[in-house]
Amino acid sequence: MTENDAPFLRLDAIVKRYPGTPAPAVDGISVDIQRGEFVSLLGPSGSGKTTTLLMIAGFELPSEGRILLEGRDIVGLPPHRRNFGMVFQNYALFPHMTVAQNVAYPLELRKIPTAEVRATVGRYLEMVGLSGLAGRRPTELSGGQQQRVALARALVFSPPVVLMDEPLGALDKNLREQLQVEIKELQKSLGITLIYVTHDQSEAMTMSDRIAVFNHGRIDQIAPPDRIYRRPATRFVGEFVGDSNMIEGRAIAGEIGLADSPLGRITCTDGTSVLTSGQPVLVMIRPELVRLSNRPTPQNGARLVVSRTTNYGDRVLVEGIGPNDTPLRLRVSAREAEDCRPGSQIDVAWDPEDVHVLPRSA
Amino acid sequence: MATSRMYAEDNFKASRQIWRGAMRAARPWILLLPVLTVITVLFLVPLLGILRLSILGEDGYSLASYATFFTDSFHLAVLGRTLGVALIVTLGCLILGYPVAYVAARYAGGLGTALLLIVTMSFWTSFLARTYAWMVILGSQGLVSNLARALGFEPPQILFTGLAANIGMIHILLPFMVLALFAVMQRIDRTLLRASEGLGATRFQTFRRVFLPLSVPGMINGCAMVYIVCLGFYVTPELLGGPRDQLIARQIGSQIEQLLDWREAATMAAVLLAVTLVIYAVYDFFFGLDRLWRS
Ligand SMILES: Nc1ncnc2c1ncn2[C@@H]1O[C@H](COP(=O)(O)OP(=O)(O)OP(=O)(O)O)[C@@H](O)[C@H]1O
Ligand SMILES: [Mg+2]
Repeated sequence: MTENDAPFLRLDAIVKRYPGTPAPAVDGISVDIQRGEFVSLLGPSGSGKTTTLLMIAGFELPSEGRILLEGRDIVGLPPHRRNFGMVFQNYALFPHMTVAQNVAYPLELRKIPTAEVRATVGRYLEMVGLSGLAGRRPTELSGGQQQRVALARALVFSPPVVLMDEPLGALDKNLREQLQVEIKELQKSLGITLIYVTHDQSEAMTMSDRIAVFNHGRIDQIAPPDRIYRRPATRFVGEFVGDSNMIEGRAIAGEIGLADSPLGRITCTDGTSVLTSGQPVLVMIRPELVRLSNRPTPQNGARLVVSRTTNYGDRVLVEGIGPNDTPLRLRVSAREAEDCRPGSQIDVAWDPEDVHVLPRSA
Repeated sequence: MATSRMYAEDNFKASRQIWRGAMRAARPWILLLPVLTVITVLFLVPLLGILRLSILGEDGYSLASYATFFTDSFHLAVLGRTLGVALIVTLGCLILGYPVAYVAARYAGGLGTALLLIVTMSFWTSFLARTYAWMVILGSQGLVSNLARALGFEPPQILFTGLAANIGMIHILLPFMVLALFAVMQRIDRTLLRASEGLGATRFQTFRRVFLPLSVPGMINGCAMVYIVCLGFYVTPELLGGPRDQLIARQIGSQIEQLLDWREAATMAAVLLAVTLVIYAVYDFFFGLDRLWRS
């Protein structure tokens, strides 16, 4: 992205305070979103995701800040004039209208000729695989089918931006995964700019171009999924997304890329900028990147006493206690786990490239 | 020995289970028994008595009294007037009650709760007291007439006209309408209104195309209730209306009190009951719609 490449949708220092609540629900967030981008808003309950989405949609007014669509401030625009598609968690289908009438609704409001409405509705119902159910009422559909209707209704008027608030939250796992794929494909083939609220990290990981991780009304990090996973900007992001070992250490003065920790010396190839003059650091190692080793390693490894193993079928989680009572978790295959009975001693090691370092304050 | 004891225990358990099952199935009926008794003795039996009275002539059973009723233009006019007045009152309640219920449902807490409180308060006040209040307000020396005089013109007669009777009945039946509408409106999902606005509808379009159709079950409930109650209204039209605005309930009364014609009175009561049942059937049909949309 170059300097003069103006963002399509820009949130500029948005703050939202609900009357009567001490802390702001959204506390100064700024995001630039490109046309055609899939951005997930990920975070725990109450972190401000829905509030942010409602402000973009126009249902809530920001207390401070601006929302710019192609450089134009849209904060004063009522929802019906923003022309955004929206999908709600509970589908919000109109119960007194059939499937086809629900999907036709936004087109009729835009005074599209009847013949064209019918053709477009047919096309979109086919796209979401519901051609045969046009005459049904929403109550006569399964949850997954209802969500597909909501999807078609949000896309049918070709909105420049589509907003979805936990659209798959009420569906079972298989259906959710199936619809994740379908939504992603629709988004790509139609070139939609999609802002997607979820608190399911794997959903955010598999679907998004970028993930914005919310923490108490702020965005801790906004980055592509693999970067969020491998190089979290804060301890919160590292712990919220995936499983992690967080080891409190201290950068060694005078050395580059070396930290002292209860587990011994740890080499870091990343984040060396925080590794300067003996400041406290947080070293993160993902459990699946820790491996069993057949000999003790003086650096970038440790000897553990296994305290517990948990079998997840594909992998086994081994929890052990290292030097100085420091807990460490690793994931190994079922066969490797045979050597990891509780009480036994194991040697583990990791690659310096897989170590991520954060300032301890973050 | 041990086995036989187990056997006996099993038997005991099984019979106890059967007894329990029977009790469980019977329990709702046991609870209903007092109510069923009261309804049968005090309501169904007398009702059958009235129906019997209406077809019991000097020379055995006949429908002669119904023939008389439906060929007597005076009686038909009273029935027609009753149906017409009930319609006017129902529409009046709907038009006045809808905005009240709408505000109460949309602004729950604060304004909405206050409105609902006012409505229910008048609901709890004796309708006789409210009828007399209207007599004071609408009388020839009442508030309305004096106001008209203060503005410089001679007020027309209001009290003891059909207008006064209608005003009184609308006022008394309005809470029924508001509460029936409110009950349905309050359950309308707010996210539907949001979704509509998000899809490009103005507030007014959202009201007309989403809120209004979804409130139809409440309108039907309220209208059916008000209409049915209105058909049997006696005191208020009698006190506020004129002698020529008599409704069928009053007519039934005078058949008995003045003419001692029990058979004719029973016939009119039966006709009124039939009309009510027809309206109830229509209501029930539409109320089914409400359930179809939900669940
Ligand atoms: N209408 C409101 N009035 C007052 N406070 C509100 C309102 N809506 C949300 N909040 C508060 O704002 C904060 C953020 O809420 P929000 O709904 O945006 O969270 P969220 O990230 O969507 O959470 P979830 O995952 O549970 O949906 C919460 O503390 C919530 O209690
Ligand atoms: Mg939410």
